[in-house]
Amino acid sequence: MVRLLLSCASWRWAVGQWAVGQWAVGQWAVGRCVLCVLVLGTVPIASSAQRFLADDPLWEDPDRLDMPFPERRATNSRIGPLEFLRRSFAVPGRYTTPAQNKNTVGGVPNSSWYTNRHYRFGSTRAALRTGPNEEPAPSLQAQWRVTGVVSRGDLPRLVIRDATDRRFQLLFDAPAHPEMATGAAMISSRLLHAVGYNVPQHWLRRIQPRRLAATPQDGPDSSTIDSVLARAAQRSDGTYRTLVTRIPHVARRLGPFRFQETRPDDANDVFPHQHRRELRGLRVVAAWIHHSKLRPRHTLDVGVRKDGRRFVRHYLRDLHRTLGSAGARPKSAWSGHEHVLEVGRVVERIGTLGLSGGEWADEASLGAPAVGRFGAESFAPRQWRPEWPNSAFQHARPADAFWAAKKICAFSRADLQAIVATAQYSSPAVRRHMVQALMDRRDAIGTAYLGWGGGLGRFQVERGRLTFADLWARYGGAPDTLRRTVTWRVFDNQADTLSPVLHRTATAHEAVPIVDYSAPYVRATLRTSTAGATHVFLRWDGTEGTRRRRVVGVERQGGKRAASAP
Amino acid sequence: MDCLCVRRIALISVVIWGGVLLRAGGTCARAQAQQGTAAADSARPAAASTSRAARWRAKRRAKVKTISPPQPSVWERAASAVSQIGGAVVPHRLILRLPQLDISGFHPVFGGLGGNAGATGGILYEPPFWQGPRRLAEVEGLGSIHGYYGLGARVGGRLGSYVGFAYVRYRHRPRDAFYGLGPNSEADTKAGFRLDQAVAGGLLGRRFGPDVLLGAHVSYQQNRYGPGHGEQPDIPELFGGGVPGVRSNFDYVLAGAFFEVDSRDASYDRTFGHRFAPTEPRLRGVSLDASQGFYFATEVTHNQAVASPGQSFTRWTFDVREFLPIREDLLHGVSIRQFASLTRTGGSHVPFYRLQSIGGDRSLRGYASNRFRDRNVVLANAEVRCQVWHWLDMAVFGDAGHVFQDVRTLGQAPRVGYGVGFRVKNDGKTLGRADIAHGAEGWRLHLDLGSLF
Repeated sequence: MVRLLLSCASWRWAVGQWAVGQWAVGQWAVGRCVLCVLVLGTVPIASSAQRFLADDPLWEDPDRLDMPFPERRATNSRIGPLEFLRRSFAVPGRYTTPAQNKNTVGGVPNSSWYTNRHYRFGSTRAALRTGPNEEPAPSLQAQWRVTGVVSRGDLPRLVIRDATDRRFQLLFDAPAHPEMATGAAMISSRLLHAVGYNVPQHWLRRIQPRRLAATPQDGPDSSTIDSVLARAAQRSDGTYRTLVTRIPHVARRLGPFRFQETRPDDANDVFPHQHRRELRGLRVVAAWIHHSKLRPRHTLDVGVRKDGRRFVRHYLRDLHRTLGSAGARPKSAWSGHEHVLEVGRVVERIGTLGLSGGEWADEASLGAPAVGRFGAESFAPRQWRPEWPNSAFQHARPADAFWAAKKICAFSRADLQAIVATAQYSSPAVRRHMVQALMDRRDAIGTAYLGWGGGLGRFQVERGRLTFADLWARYGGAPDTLRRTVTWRVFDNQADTLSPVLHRTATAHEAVPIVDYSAPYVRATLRTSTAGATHVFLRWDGTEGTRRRRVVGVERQGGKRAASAP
Repeated sequence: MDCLCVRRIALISVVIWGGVLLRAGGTCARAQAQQGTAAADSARPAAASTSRAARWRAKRRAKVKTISPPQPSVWERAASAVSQIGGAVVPHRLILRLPQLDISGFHPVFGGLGGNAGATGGILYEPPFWQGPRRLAEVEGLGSIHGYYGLGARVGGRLGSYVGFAYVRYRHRPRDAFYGLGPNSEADTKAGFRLDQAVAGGLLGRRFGPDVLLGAHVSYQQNRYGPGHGEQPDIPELFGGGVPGVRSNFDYVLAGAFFEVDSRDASYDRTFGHRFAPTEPRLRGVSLDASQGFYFATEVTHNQAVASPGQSFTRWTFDVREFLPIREDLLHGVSIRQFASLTRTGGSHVPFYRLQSIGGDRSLRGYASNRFRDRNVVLANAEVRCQVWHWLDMAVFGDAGHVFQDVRTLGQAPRVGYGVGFRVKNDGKTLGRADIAHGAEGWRLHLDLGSLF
C-alpha cells in the first residue's frame, strides 16, 4: 500500500497530476477508476527498471576493489590466425552493441583504465606540460646503475636504477633520426594523459656516457653499454638525448591487455574490452596521434597496491611509435591507410603492376629526420586505421567516436604548443610542423565526428537554464545546428515513459530556460535538421530548500550525416 | 453517506487489486523481455540496488567466484615457441638462431647446395669469439635428400681499408645435369654426372671509399668427375667420349684479380668480398634487395691446370647492373643486368664442368638449371618491380642469353624467357622468392631462399 502511494506520488505529470488531483477532490467515477487501474498496473516495483539510479551519472567506477593479482601474460602473446582473418575481413559497421561502461550522460567514469582530465576539468598549461609525471625525475645525485639491456624493439634501451634505487627505462633515438622517437613519446604521453589514459611517466634528459655505470655483478658490463650507445644518436657535444620512463606504484608487471573480452583472472575486469568506450574511442585518439602501430604488445597491465587494495591498472606504452615514428625509422607510407592484410588492395596492385592501389605513396612529408612521416595533408579520420585490426576499434560506434572527438577538440593551439614544447625539438620548423599537424588533424576529427547526435556537449544547469556547447559549430560544422528546436516532456523514471510534448521552442543560443514543472524528471530534446538530436534528462536533486535541477542523462541520436560506423 | 462509503471502498478495492494483478502480469512480460539483459547481469541481487556503483561492484564480486588463470591456446603456445627463434636469411640459405644453441655458436641451416640438391639442411658453427663487424668465422656441414653434401669453412677479418679472407670448401654433387655443349643442345638429351670438387685459398682486397673494392685471390681447385647417380645416362653414353673433362680429372691453380663498384642500396653485408672467391658462383643473379644504385664488377682469373698445362684457360667476367626507381614508396623500379663471361683457351679444351653455363633461377629462368654451356656467355635480364603488399614484391621479368664458342656464332638468336615473380620481404630484405618463367621449353617454377646477390 505504501509503495502504491509512493508510486502515485511520483507519477508522471500528464496523467498522474490529473488522476491524483481527481483522487484528492473525490470526484470518483467508474471510467476514471478503470484509468487508475491501468495506470497502477504499469507501475514497476523494482528499481532495476529505473533508467536513472540515485548516483547517476556515475563518475567513479568501483573497479579498484581488492582482488588477487592475475597471472602474468607473455608480452608477445598473439591472436590466432582465424581471429586475425576474422578481424581483417570484418565489415565496417557490422557491430551495433553500444558501449557498456559509459555512464548515463555518455561519459566514461574514472577507472583503472581511464581518468577524466582535460575535457572535463580543463588542465592548466603547467599540468599539460607535466603530463603523467607524478614522481620526481631520476636523481642526478649519483651515477645511474645500468641493470639491464632491453632487447625488445629496434631502438637501444637500457634499464637503470638511480641513487634512490628506483627503476627507470632509458630509450635512445636512432642515429639517422635524432629526436624522432623520443619527441613522439614526449608529445603523445602528454596528449594521451590529458585525454585520460594511463601512460608511463616520461622525462627527457641529456646525459653524458659517464652518467651510466656498469654493474658487472648483476647487469651489463661497460662494453655492452658501449655497444648499446653505439646504436644511439649522439649529439655534437658528446651527450645523448634519452627518454626516461617509469610506471609508478608497480607491484607486479602482468603483461599486455587485449582489446577484446575480459581478463578471466581479474575480477575487477567485467566489461568486455571491445565494449569499453575509452578503448573504442581510442581509435579516434590513435588516429589523431597516428598510433597506427598500436597492438596489445604496446600496452601493459600493472598490479598496483594502494590503500591496502590490490588491483590492476592498464597502461598504454611504447609511445615512441606514435606520430611519424616507427621506432628507429619513420612510419611506412601505408601505415594508417591499410591493415596489414587487405586482399582487395593487393589484387589491385598485382593487376595494375602497382600503378593503382597505393595512393598513399604519393603523399609528401616534411622530410625532417625528427618528424618522420607525420602530417595532416591527406589525413581522413574515418579512413585511418591501425596496421593490425583492433577488435575494440572495430566495435566503435558513432557515439564512441563523438566521445573521443570532443575530448580531442578540447585542446587549443596554446595547449598543443605547450605540449609540443616538451619534446624539445632543436628545430623551430619541426616544432611548428608538429603543432600545425596536430591542429589540422584535430580539426579534421572534429569535422568528421562532432556532427553526430546533435553535436552538443558540456550540458549543465546554470541559473535556471540548461546550457551547453555547440561543438559541431565550433569545429567547422555548418551553422544548421544553430537552428535547433527544443521540446520538453516529463519523464517517468519508474516506467521509462514520456509525457506528450509540454513545451516547444526554438533557439539559436547555447542555453535554454528550463520549464518549470514539479515532476522529478524532465527531458529536453534539442533537435537539428541534419545533425540529429540530443535528449537531456534533468532531475531534481538535493533536499527541500536546496533543490536544483541537475543533468542526469544525455542521449544522442544520429542525424543524416555521420550515421555509419567511424 | 454509508452507501457512498461502501461504494468508495469497493472502488478503491477494485483499483488496488486490479492494479496488483495487472502489475503482476506486466512484471512477467517485462521479465521475459529483459531476459537477455538479466542474463548478462550475473549479479541478480544487485539488480534491485538503487545505486549504479553498487551494481557494478556486485558484478565484480560475482566474478571473483569464477576467476581462473587463462590457459594459452595451442596457437599461443606455438607462436610463443616460434617467437623465441631468431633467424637470418642470406642468399640461398636460412640460418636459424635457437636460444638453446645460440650461445654455443651452433645454428641449424637450411639450403645452400643449390642445383639439383633438393631439400638441404645442416649445421653452421660460428665461433662466438670471432664474430662482429670486423671478424668472420664459420664452419658448415650440409646434406640434401638427393645425396648432395658439402663441408666448408671461412675465416676473415678487416683491418682498416683492407679485407682478408681464407676459405676451404668441399662439395659432393652426384646428380648434376649435362645437356651438351653450345646453344643448340637439346633438352631431351640429358645426361647425369657426379662432381666432387674441393677448393682452398685466400683473398685480399682493399676498399677505396664505401663503394669500391679492388683485390686478388689465389686458390687450389681439385675436380673429380664420375658417372651420375640416378636414372640419367652417363655423358659418354649419350654424347660420346669427346666431351672435355670426361676421360680424365683436372686440378687447377687459380689466380685472379677483381674490381668492383657498388652503390646499390642493398642492405646485406658485403664486407669481406666473399663473392669473388672461387667458392662462389660468378653468375649470381639480379639483386632482389636493391631498389636503386649501380653495380659494376669485372674480374680476370687464370686457371692453370696442374698436371696438364694444355687445359689452362683465362676467363674475364663483366657484370653490370642498374637499379632505377620509378616511384619511391611503392619501390616501383626497373632493374637491369648485363653479364658477359669470355674465356681464352689458347687452343686447349676446358673441362665441361668448368664452362660457364646459363639456365636456372639466376640467369635464364625459363630453362632448366645449367641448361646451356659453352666457353662464352652473354646474358641480359630486366625486371619491373613493384610492392604489392607490405611483405610482398612482384616483378615482371624478361631474360635473354646466349652461349657461344667464338664470336662468329654470336649473331645467333638468343634464348629468351619471361615470367612473373613474387618475393617475400621483411625490412627491405628478401626472405624467399617464387619465380614462374616461360621459355621455349615450357614453364619453370623456381623457389629459393634469400636474395640473389
